[in-house]
Amino acid sequence: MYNPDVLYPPFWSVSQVYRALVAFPIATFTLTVVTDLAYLRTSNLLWLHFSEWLLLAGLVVGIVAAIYLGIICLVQRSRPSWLHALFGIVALILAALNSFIHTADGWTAVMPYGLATSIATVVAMLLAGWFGRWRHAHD
Amino acid sequence: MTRALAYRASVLALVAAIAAGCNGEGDFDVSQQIGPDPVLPEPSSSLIPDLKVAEVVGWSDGQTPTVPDGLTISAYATDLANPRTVHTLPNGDVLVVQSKAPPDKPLNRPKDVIRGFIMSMAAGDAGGDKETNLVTLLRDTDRDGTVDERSDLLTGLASPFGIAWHEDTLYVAAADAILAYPYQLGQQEITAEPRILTPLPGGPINHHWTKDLALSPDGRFLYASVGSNSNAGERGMEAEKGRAAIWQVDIQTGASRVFASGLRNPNGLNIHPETGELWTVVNERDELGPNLVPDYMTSVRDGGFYGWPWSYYGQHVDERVHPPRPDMVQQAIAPDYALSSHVAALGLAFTNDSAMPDAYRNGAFVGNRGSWNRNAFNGYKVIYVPFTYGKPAGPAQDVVTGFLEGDEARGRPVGLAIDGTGALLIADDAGNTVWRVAPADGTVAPEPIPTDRVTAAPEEPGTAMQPPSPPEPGNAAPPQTDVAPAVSPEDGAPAPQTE
Repeated sequence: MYNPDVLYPPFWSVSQVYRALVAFPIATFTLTVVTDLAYLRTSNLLWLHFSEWLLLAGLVVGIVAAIYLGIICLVQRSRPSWLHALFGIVALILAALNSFIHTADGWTAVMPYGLATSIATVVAMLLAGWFGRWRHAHD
Repeated sequence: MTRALAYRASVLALVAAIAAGCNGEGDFDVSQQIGPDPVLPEPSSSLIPDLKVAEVVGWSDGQTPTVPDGLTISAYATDLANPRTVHTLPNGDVLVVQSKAPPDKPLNRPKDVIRGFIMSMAAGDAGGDKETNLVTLLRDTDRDGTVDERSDLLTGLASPFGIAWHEDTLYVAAADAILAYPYQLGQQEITAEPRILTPLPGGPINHHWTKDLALSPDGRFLYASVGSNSNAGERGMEAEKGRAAIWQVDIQTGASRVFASGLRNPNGLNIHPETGELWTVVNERDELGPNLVPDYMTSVRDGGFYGWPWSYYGQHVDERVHPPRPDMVQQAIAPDYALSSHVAALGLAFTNDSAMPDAYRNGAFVGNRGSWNRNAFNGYKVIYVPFTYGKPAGPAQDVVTGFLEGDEARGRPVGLAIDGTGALLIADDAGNTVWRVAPADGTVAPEPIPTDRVTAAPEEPGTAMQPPSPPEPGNAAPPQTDVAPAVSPEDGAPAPQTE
């Protein structure tokens, strides 16, 4: 019997790989809010650079996760809630936008639009997670 | 299935819309930003910085830049390797400094990787694999405007740029030090090892690496330009010590101090022949929009602070630099003459006493290497600014054009000098050529005028050689951080403890 609460299923599954991939953007985009706030608090450009690299890393793996999800949807009959996909893509678009905002040289890279976009990205990820229940248990 | 595809398609459409929606450049008249009182629009930021880089294609045989009636242009020397600076010695020999940026700049941000790629596109590699970082001597023995002898004076240097000669010594500003070589006028080669006159702020970042030199009219000091380590302080202020400044270096002892600061990327140092004032052209900051900030030409005041990074063109605050420093902004001096935005002014030559026609006889030529941070090209030409009583007076005129052909650059003008016959020389670093612009009627100056004109006799050697006296207690100079961000390593060293 399939138990959705099992932390480590006894064998690798399709959805487990997806969860492993989305862990990257979840961690990096959340940390971007923290490093943005650290920059605003200290004016130390180190934190701005952290935000830039975190956004880049999250985007790269996030796009891989999105492509992976797309392939599953095409190959298997099951698919996640369309709201999950929608908010996931919104989060990626916001993060891409945020990468460009963060290329500014200094304060205006974060204040005000950089930080606002970082927070909006996390909100979009939370919504994607909220609607992340798979419609059909397929593993 | 189709839904998933629709998601993908919508992503692509959105990304494309973001990229395309970046800014349409209005019809801004660039000439409003040429002169003493430029029009400065509000800063604008776009997601993707404005970018238009001309591909360097080089000059084909017989092709030359264009000059107006009354002037004629010819290739003075070709097959050079990124010529940046031309300098005329008192005997009329011309030195051509050729160099490229120092390697291995650390990359801090994803953006740095992309920026490095763009800059390499702008520089071009029309020179192929030719060895650069050298100084070539060009000699026009019969003063007919063509080079009769050519030899490589120095090779294997570390990104040299500025050069000066005084009393049997040739001073070369490499990317991290001023080197002094024993050199008598007329010598065709230098074999002696140099001594380091003074170290200058160098790598590993060395963002604006070109160090230009000018000799003071009394022959006592060298002025050395040290560009900033960033666009607008985004490498942190500790990376800017001694930078965005012009140093004054004692030619005897090598002792140095910051002469003026807040000058983002100064080049083309020259002493005005009438007033004896130091002049420079300065490249201002990027990414505040296509029409900010104008590059400029200015006289340089001793102790003057010109705003970088906290403000531009006087006291216009740059919001990117944090924490703000209203105390520094308050001190910022507005420069003398704007050259319009992103032209990348790098060369300056005063025309007094040259063989140029009267229309170009009292003023300055400025070499504008050309823009990249702008979606319409600006620069890529040599302009002339008329002077009266040692100050710019009147609008600039285009003199040497044709470096740009459509979206391709045949060459890019950088350093300027008046040669031994009184004609204008232009170092074209992308076209690997030195151009000579001469009066069409063949007028030749009666005698060579050196790039560095020493007019006053130096002080008695006895007084000049004296070591600097120790600072008197209670009368110490204010810390240089109070006047400028630039603190030279020597100046920043702790004073010897005296009980």
